[in-house]
Amino acid sequence: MDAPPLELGYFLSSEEHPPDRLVAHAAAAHAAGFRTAMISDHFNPWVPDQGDAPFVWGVLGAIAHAAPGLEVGTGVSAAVHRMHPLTLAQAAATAAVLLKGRFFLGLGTGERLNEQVTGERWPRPGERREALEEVLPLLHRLLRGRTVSHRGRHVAIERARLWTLPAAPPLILVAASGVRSAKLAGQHADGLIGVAPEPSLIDAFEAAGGLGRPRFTQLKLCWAPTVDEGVRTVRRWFPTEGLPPSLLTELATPGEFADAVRLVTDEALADAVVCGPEVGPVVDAVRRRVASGYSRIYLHQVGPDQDGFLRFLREELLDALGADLASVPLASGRPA
Amino acid sequence: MDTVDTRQVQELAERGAQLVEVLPASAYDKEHLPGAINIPLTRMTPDAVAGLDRGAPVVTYCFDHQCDLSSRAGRWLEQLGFTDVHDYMDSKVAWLADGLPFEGTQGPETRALARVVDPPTFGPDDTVAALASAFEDSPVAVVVDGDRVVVGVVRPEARSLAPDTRMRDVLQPGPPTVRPSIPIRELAGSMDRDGQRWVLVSRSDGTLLGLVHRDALEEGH
Repeated sequence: MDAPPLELGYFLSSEEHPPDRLVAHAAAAHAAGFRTAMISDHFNPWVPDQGDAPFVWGVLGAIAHAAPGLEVGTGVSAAVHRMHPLTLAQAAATAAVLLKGRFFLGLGTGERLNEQVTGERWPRPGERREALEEVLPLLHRLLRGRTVSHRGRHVAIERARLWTLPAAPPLILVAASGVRSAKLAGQHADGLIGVAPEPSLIDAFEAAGGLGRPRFTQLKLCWAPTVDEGVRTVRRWFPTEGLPPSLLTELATPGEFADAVRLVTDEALADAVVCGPEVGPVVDAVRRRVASGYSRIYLHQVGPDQDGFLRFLREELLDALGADLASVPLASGRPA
Repeated sequence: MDTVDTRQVQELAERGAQLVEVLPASAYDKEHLPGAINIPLTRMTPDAVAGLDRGAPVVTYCFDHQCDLSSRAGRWLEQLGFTDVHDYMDSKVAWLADGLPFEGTQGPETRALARVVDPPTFGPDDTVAALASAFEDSPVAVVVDGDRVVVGVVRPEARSLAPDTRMRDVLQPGPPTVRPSIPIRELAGSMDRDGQRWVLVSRSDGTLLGLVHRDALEEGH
């Protein structure tokens, strides 16, 4: 059996960059050899200092034009709350057409930060998972061009059909931070987006039917000339990395997150994000994720210095990992 | 009376010791050490022990090390005139957890050990280059030390790392393990609840006995 290639992708952080910069970053990453990218979908930034949260579906259209050939998927969109699943399906289908099929739809149960802006009640995790479970089969059918009518506990759809469709339906991946959502991903999705290097997530996903399907995760790092500078950049651009994960879905506004991150120490940030100029800690962090069972790692350089990161990647990281970006297969090329 | 461990019980049994399970008959019927007889402590009268050979060693055992029945039974046998009495304090649970032979209505064929396969094993200093064909029949490769004690597992994705990457740098420590004596039905239930496709089977000291696939726990497998 041939060894599978190490699959590395590039992460586009909608909270940190305005839309034109995201498009430029996507083009630069593609030019640097990346074949695949993942982009976050936010209504609010985590903290006011991040300062951006463009409409991801508009950004995807521009990326399709600026970086032709680059695969891009959302990581992740919420399936129910601020966007009706119909609108989400239509947006995904259009993005998939513009990206010539090189698109995947990453879905999650949302964060209060991004979803409660509609003024609706913020449901508990179990209820949000139930809503996602209701919506997933509807999305699968809509993206295959079926006419869908549905009146369920969380969603109603009346004789809806998408008229603009890609040649093949995009893969739908579901994000999981715990075993219950990993099971849901195994049962109802084409792949898993895991948020932690935690093998029990992969086990649960595979046991529930996900064996052999894509398992993506993200690695936040901050390449910088010194560790201190890296930590300062994370403090400015992604201080929420030092918060316990349980808060991320529950705080309501960027202001509340700004209050919470005042309690986060620099040590906690340095533990959460690989910072500095050394290649060794990045290699170790990638290895940990691969060894946990992830098939692909999206590298998220925190902060504005994307060029510095791409240089580090080209000059040191790829060699140290024995990785070849050109050999990364596109997720969208696999049968759904 | 002295306290003996599992290895000493095996030696005593080979020398003709009489193994006496002092739990109630229902527990004995379900599972007991090979050749053991059952004299529940509640019924251990002088008459009940008349059939035991006073010239040969006697080993008392009960359920586990927290249970005091084997110790009390041993002392009572000394009161009744037995001079070569040994208390197997760790008792049946320890015996079964080591995967040793046993008898009973819920015998070895109903336990996890009956369904294990041999997973590929490697040492912590082997490199991922050795994994080439490790995953043809196994979901994981198991990393063990020189005594076959489980150190961790390596998943197929590790093959995508540089070939000189050492197992110790990529293994997942603390993979789930169960004892060989766990009933198949109970194991199937817990694996479904925890979303496990496979689990390692090991002795109480961590020695690898094999790997069980969830699919192999189905009836008629």
